[in-house]
Amino acid sequence: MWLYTRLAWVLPSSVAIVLTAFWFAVLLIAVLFCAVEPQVQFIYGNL
Amino acid sequence: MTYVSVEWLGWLAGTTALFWACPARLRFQALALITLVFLVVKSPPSALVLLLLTLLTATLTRGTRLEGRQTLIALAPAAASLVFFKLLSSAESEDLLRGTLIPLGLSFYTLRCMHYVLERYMGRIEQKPLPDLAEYLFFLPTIFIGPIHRYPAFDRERRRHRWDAGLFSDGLERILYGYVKITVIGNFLIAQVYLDWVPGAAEPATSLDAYLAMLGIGFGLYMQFSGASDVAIGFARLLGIRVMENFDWPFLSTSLPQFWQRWHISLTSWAREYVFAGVTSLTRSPALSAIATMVVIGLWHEMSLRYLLWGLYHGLGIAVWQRVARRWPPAPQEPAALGVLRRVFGWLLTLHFVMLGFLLVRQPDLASMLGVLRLLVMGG
Repeated sequence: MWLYTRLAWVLPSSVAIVLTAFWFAVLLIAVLFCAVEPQVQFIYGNL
Repeated sequence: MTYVSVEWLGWLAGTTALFWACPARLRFQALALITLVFLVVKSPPSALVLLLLTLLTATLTRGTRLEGRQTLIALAPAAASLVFFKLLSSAESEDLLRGTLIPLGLSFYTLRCMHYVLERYMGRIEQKPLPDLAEYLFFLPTIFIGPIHRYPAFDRERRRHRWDAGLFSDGLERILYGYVKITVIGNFLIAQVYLDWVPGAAEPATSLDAYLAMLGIGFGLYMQFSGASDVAIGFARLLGIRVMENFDWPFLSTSLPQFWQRWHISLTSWAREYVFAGVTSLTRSPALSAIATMVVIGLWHEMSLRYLLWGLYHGLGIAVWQRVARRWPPAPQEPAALGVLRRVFGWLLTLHFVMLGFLLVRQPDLASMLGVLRLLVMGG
């Protein structure tokens, strides 16, 4: 929990937990939103 | 098989749950079995090829110490199958089997087999029983996109394996960041928003179009590939195993040799250890070794003229870079501003050299490569 550790240095633990959870929720929603779009495969050899 | 699918997430979650539900002494055997089932479900021929390679590698490396000839024989199945399938699937192959798919994970799997054989030859690994080797090779998180993790580190992790909530949480976080890179940055922001915004990105007509498309392609590739590596590394951590990193901010490199120490680290370190060191001991020429190593790396990606040229391009680039760095080293009393300027210039040069390489290697033939180059330099 890199983000939480950094936040907890400067903020109360409960605030750090809320901010970290909020950040992950934002990322998760963004991933879900973008995952339903057609996916482009970048070409990098024949692996 | 794509990482962005409900099916893959199902495999990831199911494997993690089953793995931890098993008794501790059976976990890695169960994982190898799950990997085999995965391969059988996704591609039965792939499962057969990889199983055969495992059996051959284990059989041919028997004995207390491997001699030179036995090593060559033990290397042959992995090397030959890699070359065989790469040639068959090459777009340039005129064979009837043109377009044949490479067995799932073969590119990464064969390098791990060869690593085991070569480490046995160098006496750094003792003979391992087949189940131990199979547990290393049939490791689902890294089976089809890497990192090409090494046996000693895997064995160490396996021996001290235990439940670690911190590592599990790291794994989840890493997987999330991996998917952010793949879907949000690579697919949505770069492939859709940015490349849609660049006028004529698909068929550039001006230098600027080609330049902007080149940057989009390079950064997009990095996001997709490093994102996939993040998912693999995160998946391994969910299972309580740390595997090596694959990327270390490569586009911040201030020199070409540095770039290749920070891009696809598990492949470049493999090539440095087994190709570069071998060729250097034969030729005593670091420049020749760099070129040979990059050609091998290029051909590993794809057995084609364009990847051969891509390897040569980078090999020659590294050789020239090292020669220039030796010829004009930084002065001992160099002013700080000059040092900063040198690093900024090195960064810009490296970034553009690498991006140009990614753009060129996408072209189907030499004529198209020259066409793109002409467009970039002369504007059409």
